[in-house]
Amino acid sequence: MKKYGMVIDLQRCTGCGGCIVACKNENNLPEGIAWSYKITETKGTFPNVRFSYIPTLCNHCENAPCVSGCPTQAMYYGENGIVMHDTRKCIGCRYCMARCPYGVISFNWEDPHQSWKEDTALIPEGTASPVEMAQHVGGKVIPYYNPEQETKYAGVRPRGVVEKCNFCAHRLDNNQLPYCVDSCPANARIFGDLDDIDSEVNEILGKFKSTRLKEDLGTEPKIFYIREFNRSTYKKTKGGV
Amino acid sequence: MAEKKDVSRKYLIWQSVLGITLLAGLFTAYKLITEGLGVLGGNDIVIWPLPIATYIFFALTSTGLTFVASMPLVFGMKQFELIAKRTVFLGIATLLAAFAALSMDLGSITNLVYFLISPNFSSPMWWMGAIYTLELVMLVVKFWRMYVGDWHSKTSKIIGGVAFISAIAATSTLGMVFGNITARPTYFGMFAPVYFLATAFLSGLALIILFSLAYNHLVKAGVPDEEVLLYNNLGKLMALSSGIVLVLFLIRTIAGLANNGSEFLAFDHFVGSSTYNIVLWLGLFLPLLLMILPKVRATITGKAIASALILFGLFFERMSYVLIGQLKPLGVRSSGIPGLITHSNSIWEWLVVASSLAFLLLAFTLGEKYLKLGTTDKSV
Repeated sequence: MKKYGMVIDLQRCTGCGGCIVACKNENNLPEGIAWSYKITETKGTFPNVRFSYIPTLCNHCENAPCVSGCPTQAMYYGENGIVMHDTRKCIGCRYCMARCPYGVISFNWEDPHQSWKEDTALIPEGTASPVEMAQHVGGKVIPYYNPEQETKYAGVRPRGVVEKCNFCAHRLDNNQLPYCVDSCPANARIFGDLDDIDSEVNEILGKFKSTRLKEDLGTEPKIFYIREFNRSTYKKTKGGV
Repeated sequence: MAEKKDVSRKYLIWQSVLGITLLAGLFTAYKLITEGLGVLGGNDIVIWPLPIATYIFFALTSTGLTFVASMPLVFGMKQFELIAKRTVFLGIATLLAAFAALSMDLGSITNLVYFLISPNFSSPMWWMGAIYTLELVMLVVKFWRMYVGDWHSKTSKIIGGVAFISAIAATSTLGMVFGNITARPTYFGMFAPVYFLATAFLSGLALIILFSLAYNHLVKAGVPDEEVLLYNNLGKLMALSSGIVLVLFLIRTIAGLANNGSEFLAFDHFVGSSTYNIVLWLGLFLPLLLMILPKVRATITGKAIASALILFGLFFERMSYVLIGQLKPLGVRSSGIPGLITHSNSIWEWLVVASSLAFLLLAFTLGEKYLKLGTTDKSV
């Protein structure tokens, strides 16, 4: 049994949002929902002003308030310490959202991917309608539907249940990195086994001072943040499974 | 004859109003089932809109009614037997109204079976649901025993005792549902169960006084002489109870204002707002004042106004309690929102409130008509 965690290097992160887009594609996320997102802070005063970014995703806490609070065990600890969600058991009470200090659980307030069910073409007799396009490429609901996601989670989560990041558990099964890690152009995300003292995440955590979000709450998040515009460096890597 | 016709006409109008409101509630339920909870106007920041506050209001009122019913049925205070049957019946009706409001706020009601087959014993929400269900069953069985005349047999007393204990436990766990959310300190942690217990008793007391007086005034000629002392004593109890709740409310205010955490930003805005003033002055202070003045307390109007104000104020208190914990976005939701967000209740939210209330009133109307709620008949 491994204990997967992630290091996010805030010096390398440029706030490009590549992780956000990649996650949406990989996990068939509907409009308005983002498992991976970022806190954007404005620092300084014009003209000496800059943005700073804190990328966010489910922290897969060791003491996850969502897991202890869920009345039906729809939120549960899956393999390798990943906090998983089962849509079949979810009653849509949203207690997990109330308890999560990080705001990374989303609720499907309406039917997902509604725009792809529209049968009106943007240009009549000039372009296909959204629903025609989805049908033409054989996608479930959306043209770019990723069926691999279904092996670990509902491919598209229905109306009335919550949803959240699961470290791309379907990819981990195939010895692939979470897609946000894989697609980060700046190699700002490093993924690995926190219980393996030789893993690259542990090597980096040993080298740099790290912080976690709202540590005082005792949730023991497994997302670590290192550096912020300091001059230290290390070999570029994406870590390993 | 003409007077009788007039009464039946009013009764028909009353039932029609309740029926129409219930139909509006059913239409709301249909909208929620077919279009999703987005209809209510909630979002990923305000995750619990008005139906949850409605649920809390009715659930806690049910608890309060169970406490009041326990005075004669568990603790042998015979004076209160006159209202015991009505109190138990209203305890059931308010709890059902609470469940109705809650069910309209659940996203996937078909998955509720997992509440039974996949329980999470570490979840206060699971315990709350389980214990409230137990309380409901106990209240129904107790009412049935009372209906057949078995008020004080050993079995009946045990049932009443279990109902009383489960009411305390259910209310405490409901408080824990909120108090255990460490990320939202404006739910006031372990203070919440105590606060819920005290306010529950007050709302239950106010409801039974208001409904009993209304029934006596509208259906009977007035309060029977043998019940006058009972209502005066209930008025004294309401004075004591509203005084305790007022103190707890002020403690909550002071503790909230003394906390400089950013999570208390919404609380700081709440203090001094119109909602706050409704709760403090109309819902707690004025009823307390009315009930500590002997001349006012002795009147039916005084007690009716005080109890109506308490229920009105406590509803706004439940609404603000639930909402304050949500207006400051948490974590990544606060990105781009440095302060608070605003939330206006939608018409659908209010329809959930109205239809739950209509259900309660219709149940009470039918209960009084067919189940003889004012009797203390112990033929067995």
